Amino acid sequence: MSNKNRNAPFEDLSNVEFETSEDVEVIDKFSQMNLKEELTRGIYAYGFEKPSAIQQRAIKPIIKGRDVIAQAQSGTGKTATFSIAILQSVDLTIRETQVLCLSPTRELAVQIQKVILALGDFMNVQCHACIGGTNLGEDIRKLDYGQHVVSGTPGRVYDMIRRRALRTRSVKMLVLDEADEMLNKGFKEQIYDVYRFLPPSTQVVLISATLPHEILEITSKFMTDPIRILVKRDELTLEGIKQFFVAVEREEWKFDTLCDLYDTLTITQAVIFCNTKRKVDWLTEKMRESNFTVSAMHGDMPQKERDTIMKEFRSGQSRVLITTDVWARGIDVQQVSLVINYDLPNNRELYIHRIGRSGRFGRKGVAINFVKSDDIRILRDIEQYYSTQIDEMPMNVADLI
Amino acid sequence: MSIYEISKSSLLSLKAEILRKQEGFSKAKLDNEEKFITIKKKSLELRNKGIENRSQNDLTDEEHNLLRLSKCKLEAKSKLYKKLSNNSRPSSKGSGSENEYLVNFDRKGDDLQSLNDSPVDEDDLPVDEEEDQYYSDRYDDDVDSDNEWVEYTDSLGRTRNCLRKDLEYIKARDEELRSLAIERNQAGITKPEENLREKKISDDEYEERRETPEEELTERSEEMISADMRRETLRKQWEKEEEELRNKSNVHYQNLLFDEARQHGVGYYAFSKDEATRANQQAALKQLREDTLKQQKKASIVKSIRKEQLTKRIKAAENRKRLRLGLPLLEDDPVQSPEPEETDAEEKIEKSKLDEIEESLNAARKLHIRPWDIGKEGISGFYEMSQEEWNAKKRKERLSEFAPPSSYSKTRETNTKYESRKYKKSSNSAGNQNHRVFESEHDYGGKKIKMSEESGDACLFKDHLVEDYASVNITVNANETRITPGQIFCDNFDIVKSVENGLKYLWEEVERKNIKKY
Repeated sequence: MSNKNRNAPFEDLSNVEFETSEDVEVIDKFSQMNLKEELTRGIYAYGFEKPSAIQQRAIKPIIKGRDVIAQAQSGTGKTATFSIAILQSVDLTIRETQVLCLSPTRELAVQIQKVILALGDFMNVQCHACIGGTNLGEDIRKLDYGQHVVSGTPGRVYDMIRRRALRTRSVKMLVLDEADEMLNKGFKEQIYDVYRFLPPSTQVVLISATLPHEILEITSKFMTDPIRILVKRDELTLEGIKQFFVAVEREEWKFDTLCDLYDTLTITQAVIFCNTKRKVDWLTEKMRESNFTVSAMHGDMPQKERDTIMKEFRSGQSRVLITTDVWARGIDVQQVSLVINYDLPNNRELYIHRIGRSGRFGRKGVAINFVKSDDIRILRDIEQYYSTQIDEMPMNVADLI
Repeated sequence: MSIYEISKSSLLSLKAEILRKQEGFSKAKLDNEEKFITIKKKSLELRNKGIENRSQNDLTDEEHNLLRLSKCKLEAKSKLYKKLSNNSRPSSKGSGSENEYLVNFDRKGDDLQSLNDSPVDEDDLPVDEEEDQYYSDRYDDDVDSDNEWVEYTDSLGRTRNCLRKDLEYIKARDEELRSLAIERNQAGITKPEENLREKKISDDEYEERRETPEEELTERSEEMISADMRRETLRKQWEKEEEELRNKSNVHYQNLLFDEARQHGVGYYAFSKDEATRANQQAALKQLREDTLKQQKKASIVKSIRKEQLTKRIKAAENRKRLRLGLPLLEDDPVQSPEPEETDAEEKIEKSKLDEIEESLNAARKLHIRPWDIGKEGISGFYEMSQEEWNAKKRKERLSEFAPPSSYSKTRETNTKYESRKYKKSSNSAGNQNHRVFESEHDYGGKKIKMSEESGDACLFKDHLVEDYASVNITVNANETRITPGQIFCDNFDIVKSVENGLKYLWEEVERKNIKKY
């Protein structure tokens, strides 16, 4: 890295190869992390026994107060990583917002709230989910009670800050989950708006399974000498998630294929991704016409319905969920072992996130891509980009779940 | 370790005692078996005539009452069944009315139809699906103690048989049933007939009253209702939970779980949703933990005392030996090598060194001003612009009519590709702050140079970090000297390239010298 830079001292960061920081300490036991006793108990109660690779590396620097950029494969405990660090750094005697955690979707924000509450169950931490589509007055009241941590979506959080319902004076840490999405075109302005209200030099933590170069470039604008824990893209796919494709000649055949696979879908739980909300509606309708039980979720539904569908899926009442990319990132349902890409995702990052809905925390998973003949090229590109293997679906696919 | 004398007589008496006990045990065992066999046979036996009259006489008052109660209940039940099967069931779709009766009438419909034709025999009343599971195979002759049939009387006064291994489960169920019945009675619903009438009168009122046993009901009748119904009841339950949450100031994990099917660790403790109970549970857990700690401490103290005693004893023994051999006695010597302390000290020094470095780094980090922080309270928004940034800014402000011809700017662009690209980027991302952003990138550029020169010594680099932030201007100014000559050659690509390469090389040399100076 140094040689390259010598020739071009003025080079901007676009030609810098980001690498994992040197001397990142590895701590392979929770008990050696000097965590609060109640927190340690919460961690074990939640089901973690040994820290995952990212947890071994990232928790300590975050607790120390360093800015951290952390990347790890899907379902390897990233949320828990920053949640643990958050809970360790929060002062419970002060009932004010000390940590702000932003995520791209409401469901994810709620899930993070849940994880923080679960890990901090013995600590009696207070964490509020500040998301759109809910009652404003209620939000204001809840924030008024005093929350140690606020997990939310940028829009509502910004709104709450402007209304002075969310006081940022005591905020000492900003966490951006799914950081690459949060710093993408659509969200970046909103993040900037929120950031402007935080005390200067607030600790910033970025977390995602995918961190494209252009995202790493702009981190210098709001981070100071961050510790980077990165994963090379050829190591980004998990061994535990087997990837397959089904080649179809025509779009209509995808539906028949899906119907044929229905029995396999319901072995545990499955998520089917379409690229548009309309297609989700259409496919759901069609599946129901053919007497298949499916549920569906996308961003155009009222929040209350979204909530109920999430609860039903989480409780196992529904087993097959047809959805859009609103579900692609971060959502963790342990029982999901099968992901179907009814349409191929629009970019490489989304592919990683979508298939990462299965195979949670060391479990097995299967991803099946429906490809029309002209899609195969895209699939091959993904395969090559991540140095992974996507084979034609075998007959015994049910055995792999 | 002392040896006691044992007389033969005492040994014999011990043996005799053992034999006696064994005999008693085997006899008791046989007796028990007989008991169970009679129970088993009971249901198979044909009854003698008049035996019922006789047993009627034997019945105590209490038993008699019990039987009457049971009969009365069953009669009421059969009437209700008839009524329900004749489709007089009120609002079957509304608000989970199935739960109310603990019987899935949609499924039972056929059975009941046939029952209606023949006079309803009380003993033949259909039993729940779940019960079937436990009461079928009544005459299974397995002698395994778990599979033996035992009789019991349930809370409704019915005498029933079940397998011994199931007794526990059935008891628990019965207890639930009874509590449910009591609750219903309290709510003023004593008889099913009344219940029916009331329901017709005020559905809403009833709904409210039913709320308490609903949770139990959903659990109990889970197997009996269809998936849609189950979903509906769950939805309602969640809604209710959410409603409660709305007015709570403290929200906990259990409040948000909503029946999620999640595996927790073995140490998971589902605290109560009620704040007071939760506090109690936590206090109890804490107490337990403290007790454990105390015990552990105690144990460790005892252990250490024992260890001490042992070493003392060994030493005393050693001394005795030495005394016998006429050697000088051993003194109490602190057998601690001073070596580990030294290494400790070394480590400490190293650590403090690292801490120092870390501290200086932290100070440097604190000095650093993030572009997005500029303009915040306490952060001076002042930055010294480089010439180039100034140019860029002014160019942006300039009216386009006063700009140099487009051909000029085009060629310029090709030559200063780094700068133009960077400029574009920053203007895209941070709007009117682009100039400041711009500078910071150079800032990092400067850092990178230092890194390259001193990559061999990480510590040195770290110390220089502070300087990096200060030396921004120098690197930026140096930047310009490189660009200007390039502007002269712009038309011919080959020439431009070769000259650029030459200049690059020259620049490198200059830069290297520059850095060595610092």
